[in-house]
Amino acid sequence: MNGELPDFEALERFVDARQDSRERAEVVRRLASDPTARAYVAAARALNARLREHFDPVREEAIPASLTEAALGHRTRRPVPSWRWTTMAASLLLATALGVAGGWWWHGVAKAASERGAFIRAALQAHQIYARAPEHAVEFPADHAAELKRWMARNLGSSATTPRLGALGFRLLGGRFLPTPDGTATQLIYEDRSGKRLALYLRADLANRDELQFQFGAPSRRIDVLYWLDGPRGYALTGALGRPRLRRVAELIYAQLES
Amino acid sequence: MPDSQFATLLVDQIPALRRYARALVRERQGADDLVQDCLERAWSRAHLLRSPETIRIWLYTILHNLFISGIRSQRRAPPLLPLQESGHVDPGSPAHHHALLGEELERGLDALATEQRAALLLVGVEDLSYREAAEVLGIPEGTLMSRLHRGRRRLRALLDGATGTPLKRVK
Repeated sequence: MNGELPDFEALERFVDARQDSRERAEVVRRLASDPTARAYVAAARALNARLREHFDPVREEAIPASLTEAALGHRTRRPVPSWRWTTMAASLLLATALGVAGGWWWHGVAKAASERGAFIRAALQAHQIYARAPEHAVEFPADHAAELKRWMARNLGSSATTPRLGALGFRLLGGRFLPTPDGTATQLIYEDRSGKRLALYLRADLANRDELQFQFGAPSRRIDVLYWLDGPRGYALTGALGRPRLRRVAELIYAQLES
Repeated sequence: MPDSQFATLLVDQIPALRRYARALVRERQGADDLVQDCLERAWSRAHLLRSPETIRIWLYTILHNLFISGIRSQRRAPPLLPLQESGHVDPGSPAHHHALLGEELERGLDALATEQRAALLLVGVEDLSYREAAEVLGIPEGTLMSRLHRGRRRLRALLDGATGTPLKRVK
């Protein structure tokens, strides 16, 4: 049972289809006259197929939040920033306390983490592709405000507005709409007098239902991202402004959304 | 390599790492713990990654070494739970037969020496080349081929011996 068939390396390469055509032809000739080798090759191929069929579904399972966090380099959950968001912090703590009591919560967190990761990546990609383009960064320039607003209402709900960031020196260039796996995302692009740009990436169709937090994601090519999720609504602010300035912009946006 | 690029590479590898870990460890939580240890170790050694192209092999190597050192430190592995965690299936149904075949396969894998099991999985399921699998396991390619061959023959014999058991158990 534990022995080796003669010239087994060639048989294994045949099983795994990893050989050149000359060796393959040799093995085929051998199999014609060697029933032991023939039976082995058939069984080994069936074994490969059976192993794959059995373990492949693991790849399709929802990824636990702990793994996504570990992949992003977050060893532990970051604390919710204390500034300004005291009610958010309180509701997050409450959700955590409730959740620890029930296993159902974990599944939700796992799903939320992979959705959150996808959301942040999409926001950063949209920034890299569009906000950095010197021209044609937007498809709806700010002077077509009515049209932009109509589209935003359709995708984000009738109360959708374009935040005013003039107080921090940014003017709205315009917006564009981008596909997501489940619907449409809106990207608004702003520019300051020096030409520095930031983008606000919005979705209103997230599966997220109960998470309320505000944090920085892993930056990409010097573009920082600050995001928060509020039920099905997700907001990601991207820009190479440095985190303190990005945070002030987020505060200003949040204040306008709430009022 | 910027942190964000590294993070993206890691995130992309999670599904495959989970598959390999599940096949090695079997029990879901234990397997995911192993993957998490692997990802954290990867961050602490990020400077050792030579190029993005080799990240897959690099991660399998880290995971495998963690798995082996875990076995050594435990001396006795914890009891293994079956992969199937879902509820009841009707006895005699195709789903039941399928579940029994899965259990049989897992029992067979468990009976293999760890180095044979790893060789079978890395080549047959993870689709690594022989050279890559040998690198992950830290052995010469010839040794890998031998383990692969012996492991396949032994698993085949175990499963042949088990044939018929599912039918008996259905009744």
